Formats: sequence, C-alpha cells, structure tokens
Amino acid sequence: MDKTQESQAFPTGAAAHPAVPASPAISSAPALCRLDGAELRIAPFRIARFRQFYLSPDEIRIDLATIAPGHYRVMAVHNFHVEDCNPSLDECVAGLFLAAQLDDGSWEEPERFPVECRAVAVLATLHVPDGDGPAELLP
Amino acid sequence: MIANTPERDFDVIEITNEMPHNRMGGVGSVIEALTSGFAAIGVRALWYVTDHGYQPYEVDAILASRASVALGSEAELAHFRAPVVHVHSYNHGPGLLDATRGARSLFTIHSLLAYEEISNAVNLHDAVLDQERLIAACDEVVLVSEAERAYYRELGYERLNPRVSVVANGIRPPPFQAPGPRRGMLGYCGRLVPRKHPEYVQMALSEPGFESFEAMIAGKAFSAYARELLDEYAIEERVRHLGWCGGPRLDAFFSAIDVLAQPSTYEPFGLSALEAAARGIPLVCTPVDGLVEVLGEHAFYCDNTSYPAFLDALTRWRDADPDTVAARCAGARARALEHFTDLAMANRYLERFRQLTGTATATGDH
Repeated sequence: MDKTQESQAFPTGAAAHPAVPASPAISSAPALCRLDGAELRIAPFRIARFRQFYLSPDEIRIDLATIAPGHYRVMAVHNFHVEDCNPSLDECVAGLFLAAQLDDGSWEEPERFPVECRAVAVLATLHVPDGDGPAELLP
Repeated sequence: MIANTPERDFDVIEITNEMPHNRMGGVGSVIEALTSGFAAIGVRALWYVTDHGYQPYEVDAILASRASVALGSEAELAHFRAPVVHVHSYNHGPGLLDATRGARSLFTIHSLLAYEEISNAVNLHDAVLDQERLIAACDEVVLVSEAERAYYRELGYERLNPRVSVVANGIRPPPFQAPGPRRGMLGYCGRLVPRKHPEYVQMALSEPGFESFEAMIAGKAFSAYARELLDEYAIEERVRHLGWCGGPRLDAFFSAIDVLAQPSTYEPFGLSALEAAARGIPLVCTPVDGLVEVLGEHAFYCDNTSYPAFLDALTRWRDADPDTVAARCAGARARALEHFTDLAMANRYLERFRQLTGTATATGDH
C-alpha cells in the first residue's frame, strides 16, 4: 500500500460567494462528512477558530476513485491561495485538505509546501482501501 | 483560443499569466492599473492571457468582467496584430515571441527571479533560466525600479540585453484615510516569504510597550514556521491571519490598521507600501530597493534589515507625536499621487512603446 501520497487540497470556491448566512460555530463536526457511493461529501460549514470564522458555503464532493489507498484526515483549512475579497475581516475562506497518514504513523500537515494552508479542524478520518472495497469514515 | 472581442488590431498586446481576478501576486494588480491607465489615455490594448492557471469558471468571469480579453496558447497570439507586444509573464514557453508577427517586444520584469532565489533561499533554477531566455529574446527590458536596474547590472544581464529602461508601477488612487485615534493594530501585507520578514511585526507584540497591540497579517502561503511562531511567542490570540486579500477585503484591512510594516530585505517595487502611502497610512520599513524609491523620506525607516532595527523604527513610530506622523503620511501620499498613479504608469509605458517603434520625439531613459 502506498502511504506516501501527495497532498490533495480542494479549494471550495468560497471567494466567489462572500455573502454567507451565519450558522452556529463548531470546532469539529464529523457529521459534516458522509460517503455517497464512491464520493466523499462535505456539507457547507462555518467553523469558529482563532477568533475568526472559516466558511465553506457549498457542498464539496470528492471522487474517491482519484485518491490513492490509505488513511486520511479530512481537514478544514484556511485557504491561503485563493484571493479573498470578503470585506468582513472576521470571516475567511476555507478549503478541504486530505492529509495522508505517512509510514511512520504521522499525518501530512497542510502548512507544509506546496499546500501552505492553515489547519482549522479535523472533520473526519477516512480509509480508502487497496482494492475494490468501499471507503470508510472512521470514528 | 477564446476572446470577448471581434477586434484583431490593437495598439499593444499585453501578455500575462495573471489578470485582476484571483490574483497570484502583484502582476494582477499592475494589470488592473494598466487597464484603467490605458483607458484614460486612449491606448487600445488586448489583454492576452496565456500559460495561466485559471479554472473554466474563472475564465468565464474574466471574459464577462473585462473588455478586450483573449485566452489562448502562445501560438494563437498570431490571430492578433499590434506594433508592440508587452510581456508580463512569469510562466511561458520558449516560443512566446514567435507568434507575434514581428511586433516589437517589451518585457517587464516585475521581480528578478535570481534575486528571489537568493533572498528567499529557494531553488528557482528553471524559472531563472526561462526569465533569462526571455530577457535575451525581447527588444527591450523594463524594470520596476532603479534598484532593480542595479541588480540587473550586477547579475550581468546587460550581456543578455543592454536595452533597459525603468518604469515604476502605479495604482488607481484610493480614497484618503483620515488619521484618527490609534486602535492598536499593526499591519503586514504581502506574500509570507522569508525576504519580507512577516515574523518581525508579530515578534514585536511581545516587546515592552507593545502589550496592548495586535497584528493583522494579509498575505499568501501559511507555513509551519508561521504556526510555530504563534506558539513560541504565545501571540495566537493577538494575531489575525486574513489570507490573500483583494478588492474590498484589502480596503477593509487598510482601514483597520494604524501602521503598515514592510521589513523586506529585497523589494523590487513595493506595491503594498504604495497602497498604504496613497491612503495616508504610516509606514515602518527597511531602507531597501523600491521601498525607498516609492516613499522617499516619508517613512519610519529601519537602520538595517535586522529585527532590532525594525523594533527601533516601530518604536519611533509609536512614540512619534501626531503631527510628525501626519506630516510623513502627507508627504508619502503626495509623492504617491504625483508619481505612482495608474495614469502616470500608463503614460510612461506609452512613451516606451513610442520609443520602441520609432514614433517618439522625446529622448529615452535607457
């Protein structure tokens, strides 16, 4: 099994939709993630951390067929690459990062090159099997 | 190739990887200012976007919001005609100028990548070689400050291309921000790279006399170092990272800060400093390169590029009386509005185009 996959970040496009209605703040919410066949779906979220809110206004879908087998943390990150035009400085653009578990048991960090985004919350842990079995969201 | 204009003949074709939409860096801001500047003086430009990283939905947005834009391959440049092509690209193939039908070519280097490589301690070997190839292939090189021209000479680039001029950047003048009571907010704006020392302004928060201050960091590319800095100095509650800010968010950032810190060791021009100066915001910065050319004597300068020198300059700003601060801000703003507007930049480029095509009467600057 290849456990040294490359980082995989998923910009949410939140910058294109700066006007997001308020929702309750959360620090971690596994219920945000669910599997739908071979797709991982992450519901829209608004996470409070670092005295700011991190917004992902649209559902994100990730085709797991494109993901190498292994264990991943599904992480909400502050997306530092998309241009953010939202004049509310309390709100920031969020993105999704699948952090692979490495051979030594540690996890990839979104702060490292080339992703260079800030970890905000772990939303779930994901196992993508080697073979035809279904992916699993782990407790 | 996709275009939003039926025209094929222009005064100039501006070739870029980046438009003022989801900017990668400062080039998008320069393109924005050139657009308004050229429109004001009647220069008909085609904005040709090639070797870009835009997604299809972003391409649609660019075509819908900007006039005279085309996106295509380098070879497809042959669909258009102009006496001059003006290149801003960082990413380009070896044949970029092959399809320009003999037009005269001007290459603006927004940053000398050989110096980016040195000052950021990164390997940009291939990109440096690409930049050097384009320097050799174009008819004239434009640099954005006299300091860059000096570096160009130090690098021996005059052997690649001796025809060099300096055209300073400009911006559309933003609204004046009248000084008010201090809110205790230090600001930093720019990419979070080693040469710009974004850590200095955060480190200052733990110094005596700055206990009541916070910091806002507007910039691209977070890092493990940035995260560890917040932990090491126990300042996470006093630092807000805003990400890569543009448009109304950049305006909101400038409205929220008392002072902009730019402690760079290398700064080809200093667009963020210009944005602050034009608004009337005080600056604490290193006395290097484009920063000095943009700000003249109207900043709180560090004696050198070290952290102690930065802290000393920041302390001088903090302790300065309001009249002294207001006088420096007024001087920097007047300088910005006189020399570094979109209109001034557009006129400078128009003069370069005329010199290059032999239609000018004034003497050149190269």
